[in-house]
Amino acid sequence: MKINIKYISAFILIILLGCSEDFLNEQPLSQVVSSNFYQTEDQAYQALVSIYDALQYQSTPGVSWAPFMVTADMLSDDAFAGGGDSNDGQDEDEFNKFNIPPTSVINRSLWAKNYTGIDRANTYLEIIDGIDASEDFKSRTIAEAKFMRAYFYLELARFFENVPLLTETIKGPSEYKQAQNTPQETYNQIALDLVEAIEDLPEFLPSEGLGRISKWAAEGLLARTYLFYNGVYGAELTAGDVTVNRAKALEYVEDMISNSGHGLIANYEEIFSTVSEYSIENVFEIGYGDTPAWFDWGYVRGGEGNLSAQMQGPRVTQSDNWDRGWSFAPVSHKLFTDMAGDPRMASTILQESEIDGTLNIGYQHTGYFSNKYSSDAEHWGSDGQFEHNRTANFRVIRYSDVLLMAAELGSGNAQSYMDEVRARVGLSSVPATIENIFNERRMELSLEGIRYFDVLRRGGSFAAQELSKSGERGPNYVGDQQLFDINFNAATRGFLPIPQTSIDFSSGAMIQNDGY
Amino acid sequence: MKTILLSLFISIALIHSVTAQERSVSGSVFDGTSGEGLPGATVQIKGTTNGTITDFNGQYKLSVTDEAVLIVNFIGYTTQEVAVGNQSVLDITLVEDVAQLDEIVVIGYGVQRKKVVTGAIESVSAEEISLTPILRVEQALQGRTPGVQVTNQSGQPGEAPTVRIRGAGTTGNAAPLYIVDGLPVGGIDFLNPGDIESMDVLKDAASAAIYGSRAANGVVLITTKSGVKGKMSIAYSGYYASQNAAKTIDMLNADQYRALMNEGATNAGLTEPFDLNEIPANNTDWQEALFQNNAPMVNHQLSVAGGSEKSTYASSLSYFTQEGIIGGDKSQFERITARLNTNHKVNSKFNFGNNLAYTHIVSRGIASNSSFNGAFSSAINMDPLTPVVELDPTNLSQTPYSDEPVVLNGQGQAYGVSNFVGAEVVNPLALLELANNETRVDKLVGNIYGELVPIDGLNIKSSFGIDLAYVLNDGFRPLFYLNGAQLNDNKTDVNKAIERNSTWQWENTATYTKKIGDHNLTGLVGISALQYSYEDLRGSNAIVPTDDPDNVYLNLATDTLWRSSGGAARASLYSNFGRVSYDYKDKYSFTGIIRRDGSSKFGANKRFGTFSSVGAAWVASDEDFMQNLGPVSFLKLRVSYGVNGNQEIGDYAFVSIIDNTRGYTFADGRVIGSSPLRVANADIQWEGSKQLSIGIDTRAYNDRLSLTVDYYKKTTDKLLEIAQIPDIVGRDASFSNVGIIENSGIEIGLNWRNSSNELNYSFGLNTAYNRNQITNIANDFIAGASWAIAGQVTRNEVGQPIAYFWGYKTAGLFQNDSDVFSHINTEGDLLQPNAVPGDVRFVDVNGDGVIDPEDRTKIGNPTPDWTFGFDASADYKNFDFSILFIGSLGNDIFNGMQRQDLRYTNRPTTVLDRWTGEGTSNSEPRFTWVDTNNNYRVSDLYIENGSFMRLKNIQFGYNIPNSTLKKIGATAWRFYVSGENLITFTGYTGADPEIGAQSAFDIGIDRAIYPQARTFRIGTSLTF
Repeated sequence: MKINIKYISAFILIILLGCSEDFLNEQPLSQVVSSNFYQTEDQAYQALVSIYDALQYQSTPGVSWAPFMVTADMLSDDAFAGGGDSNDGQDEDEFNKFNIPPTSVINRSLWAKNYTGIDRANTYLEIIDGIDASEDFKSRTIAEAKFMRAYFYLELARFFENVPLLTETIKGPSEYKQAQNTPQETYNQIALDLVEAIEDLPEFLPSEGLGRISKWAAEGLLARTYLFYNGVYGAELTAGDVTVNRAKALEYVEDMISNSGHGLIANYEEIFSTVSEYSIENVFEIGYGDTPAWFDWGYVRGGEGNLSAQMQGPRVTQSDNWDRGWSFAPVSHKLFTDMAGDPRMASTILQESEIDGTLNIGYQHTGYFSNKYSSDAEHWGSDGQFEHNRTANFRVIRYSDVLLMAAELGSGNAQSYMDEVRARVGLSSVPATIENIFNERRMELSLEGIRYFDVLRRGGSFAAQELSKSGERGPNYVGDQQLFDINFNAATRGFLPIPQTSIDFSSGAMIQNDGY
Repeated sequence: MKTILLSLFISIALIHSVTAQERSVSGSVFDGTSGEGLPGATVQIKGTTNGTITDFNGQYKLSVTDEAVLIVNFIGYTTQEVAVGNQSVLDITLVEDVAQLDEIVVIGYGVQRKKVVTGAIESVSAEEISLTPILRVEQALQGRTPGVQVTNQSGQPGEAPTVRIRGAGTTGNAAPLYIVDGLPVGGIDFLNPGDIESMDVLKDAASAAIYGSRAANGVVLITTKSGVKGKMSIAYSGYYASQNAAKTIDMLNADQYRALMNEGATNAGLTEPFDLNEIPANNTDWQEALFQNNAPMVNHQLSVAGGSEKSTYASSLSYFTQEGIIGGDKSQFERITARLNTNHKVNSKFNFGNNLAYTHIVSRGIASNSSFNGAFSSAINMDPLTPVVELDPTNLSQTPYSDEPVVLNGQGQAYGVSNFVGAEVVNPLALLELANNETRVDKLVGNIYGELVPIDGLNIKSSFGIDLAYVLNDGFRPLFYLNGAQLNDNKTDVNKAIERNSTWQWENTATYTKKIGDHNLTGLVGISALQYSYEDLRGSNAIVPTDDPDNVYLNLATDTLWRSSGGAARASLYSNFGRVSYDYKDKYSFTGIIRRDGSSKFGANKRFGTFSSVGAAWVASDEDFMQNLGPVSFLKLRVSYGVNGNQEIGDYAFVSIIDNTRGYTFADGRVIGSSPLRVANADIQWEGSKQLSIGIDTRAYNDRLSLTVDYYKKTTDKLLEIAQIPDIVGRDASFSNVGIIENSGIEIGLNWRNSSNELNYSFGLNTAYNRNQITNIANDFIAGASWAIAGQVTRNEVGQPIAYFWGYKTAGLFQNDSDVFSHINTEGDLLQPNAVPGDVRFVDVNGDGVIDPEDRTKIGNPTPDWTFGFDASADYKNFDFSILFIGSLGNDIFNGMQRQDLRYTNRPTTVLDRWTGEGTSNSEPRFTWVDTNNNYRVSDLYIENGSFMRLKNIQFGYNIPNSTLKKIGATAWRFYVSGENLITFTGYTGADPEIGAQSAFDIGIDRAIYPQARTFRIGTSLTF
């Protein structure tokens, strides 16, 4: 027995020593590892969808929520910060008052969200070559990835002006330190991505691919890019060999107007209704939904709901028509008076007298709310935590915007384009002057995240005149006048500060924007 | 266990050498105190290797010559030498040796005599464990082991206390490694404290190095009771305890509250909400309504132990239940345990045995320290105008009672809904009514082992252990309406989760002990393999046609909203280790340890780590030239140095994982999207901890006084931390090895014990000082814990202790306008333009002329400088008494109980001393509903001194006299009464100054913590 056990002990020792390498080689059991992902066309499509997912993002986990549209409108003269009380939206209030610290979490959330999308687009463009997929699939999805990269950079450049331009993924800590590029470099890359995307994007989307990006979306976004860049910097864009000047930008939108099949839907009041999702009016829209029903407050962006609609909805209980919103971005009396008499006002502004149930008076209460993206009954999610499941799609580029851009770019049909927009709501023709076109944009497109950039591209003194407010007060305002007084900080030219965390990480490579 | 093993070794060595002599002598060896026979005592003939060990009755028989002198020896007793002379029957009585009682310590894969131990090891005996009514065995360490800081996380039954050995050595999981009978276990709430023979804490790196990669935060070795050869003993012990709230916070009553709210509105330029001429319908004391009176805690244990020449056994059954002082059975812990430990001797060379325990736990818990869903938080913040239950028919006929699913109590009455406070502050009793989550655990922990002694001095042991747990979680979300923000008026929801956690471990060790003259040498080599695996399955669905939370199952749900998920994970550890211990005449001793661990938690290139240590000790008092030390009878110096590791991160952290939850909604529905979850870091490796430990053990005045002093310096580097990366990377950060933390400190243990006539008494003081500092960290700082009301509260930064409190410094209140206008920068600009008199004056700490987030600085430290315990005990005839105080000095608490961000929340009566005009207060700001100065931002106004001393336990016992015992055939019967947490001395104004760590960076933040109960207990123990 003694000998046997000695042998057994030795045997045990050998077995344990021998198998240790295999024994320790554990790989994830219920998760996919990137080294064996990115092989098939289906997997490539999943990778593509992850870029689309970032379009939807309105928050950054652990930082803040900051929906693009709500933030842009709070910066504009169309809306205030709002929220439940003065503590609820302190960060929003800083935005509204142009008193934005570089440590602002909203500011950082806007920045981080777009770089998340950029990383996914860059990842896609790096992996697609190695995937076994058809050439048609590759060319179309590469174009989609480029479009979305351009979309993220346009959001970044319009908010932050001087941003690092990354067209490849960051591979490791040695690449963490990145300097900013000039606006010219960034905008030229946006133009290049869009011009290349236009070549390969499909013109017509079959019903099962509805919601993906079309050629027309890229043409519209390029026009938007050109107008902002040319307005602020007075220069043309260079997209590789192609110079995108006024004529070239116009050529793209005229192409869309002539060939896309897009048009205006008959009723303005139906534009933000569920029935007009993916209608001919919408050149590019971002989808939101309530599947899977979302509950997780810790990971808001994992859900598919539209947080903008939740934030802007009135803070009301016991109402049959509006669910419990948070009363952010209350609409200014200035927009209300500017739109007086315009048939589009009722579809744009929700007045407190229209609301049933019990309305809680929030911070910077004006008595007006957005009627375009709201917590109205039509967009309630069927399940899940109600805040996270608002179903309203975000109409990013509408056909009426395209018509007005074409008019602004000097189309020969400028007058008829503008008349078309006005005729829909029963308004008679006015001359297609630049002033009238801008006014029409305000009436047609307010509270859609467009106004602030329309103001900025008309120069600093115009911005100071439009965005500063003093002593302005509506009949239903609640709170001290100082809550509603706003001083535009002209030194910033309307651009946001570079987030302090990014400056800190760059060890001096990134420079803070002027005015901060 | 220790005793048995050692006796076994000795007996094996001796049995073979017994040879026939002229005649025989026989007799019994008795315990001098009880008069019982002592089984297992060694009886040896002096000058020879001849001898025997006593049988179960303590009897022996030996062949001797008349000249023989017997040396009789038993662990824990003074060795006796008796000349045989012409006697043929020789009974010997052994006396307990007080100084030697704790002579053996458990050191991991073996035991060692304390005299030759080179490291810093603390032992807690079964007797000490039994003194306080504890649910979890960690609590037995509280106040009894210097350098082991145990802080209860809250008063909720079953909640794991925070245990830190020699300070927080990591920014990750800083809990020690628990080894139960050789098996590493994840949690120790499955253990019945009554089953424990001893707990040994390996504090220094040199001792802990035998557990290598998992030992950086110290090791707690727990040994369960084993059987003793001899008569079967049956013991029952049990107690009943009654728990009540020890302290409540004085809050405003209805009249004070209404006046304050009116003032807040007036100061904000708003209309006063209350007409003070009206008499309020209610004046609710929410704490009185919330706290349970006499919440019970009950423990019963039945144990049987004994054994024959061949087999010994110890078996027990226990039942424990504790209801919380908040929520009663909604905050309850219930445990049933069954244990069987046996050992069987096949022959003189081979024995085998097992330690097996089954545990069933049912626990229900509520948020115990939360600003948002804490019942106590709601009780503190809820207005006194709302009734506990609404009985007014007028109100009941109106919304929300008439049209919302308001919560009903057991009598069908509706819990009151506040018309004033909103958000997460709700009726706390209604909140408890909705707490329906229940966790049930079935756990099997144990091992089987075999030991072979092929030649003298060599012991080969193989042990296979398992730790298997099935965990069931049930949740039910009924329809409810707590207020306009906290409600579910949609669908009832049921969810269930099943988890299986399983660990197996196979260890093989060989120990060789050799004595050559005065040289003692022990060598150990071993191999160990361990694998952990986890699987879970979760499901939920909605619309359940029942209101009874105890009878809700998924199959009853009728909705189509089925959700399910499930996953699995596995981790492995493979190790080789060795230890050499050597001593010369017990005077000079040396220990060297080396362990090589391979872990699946790291990538192939960083998988293996080697950890080692050396230690030496010198018993100076044994030197001839040190014989004149006055009253000092014993003096020993110890010094050790070792390197350990920590691998407590999640599995697969080195792999780049694809997250496929990144879907998008197109026109025809949602599509799956996938992208890498985080930046890959294949190079992460062990956290390393290096520690120098120096100690002195001394005894004086005939061993009545003993003193142990230890100094240590511990440096943990390559901290495993998810260090923030720049946002431009666009992915989540992964673990990386960054940062260094240093802990250094002193531990002092002082004891005095004496006897005079029939009085035995002892005093003990143990105290420890620790200094914790981060000396290197990624990006120079890591953001710490948040207080949801005003953002970040703690921060980690180079040169500072871990998770220090970070916020604005204040300099009193503005007393008048000129104070506001003189608070200016060098340009003459107002530093606080929005301030008015009565607001808080913040300090421009960095002197840049503006008060902004850059001015936040260190405002406190949640980690104590000193922790201490003081105990005393005495027994006289049949009476005994013991007392234990515990406490800490030098720690701060962030008092975040109040929801100042909400209007209409109630306030403590300290608000009555607020600023109401020049000179009225310089610390409690004016009360206003519109706080334009942001008085409530995180500042030193929330910081309070958290030092405390608590009378943890006091106990009186009475032992039934022997004469009575004999009549009923019992060997011992004791009754006792005790009290826990009777008095707490502290300046802290919250409900309980003992606030553990919710996470590594969330220490000492009081979000209205569930306080610990004051407990009275009666109990008995009876042994046959």
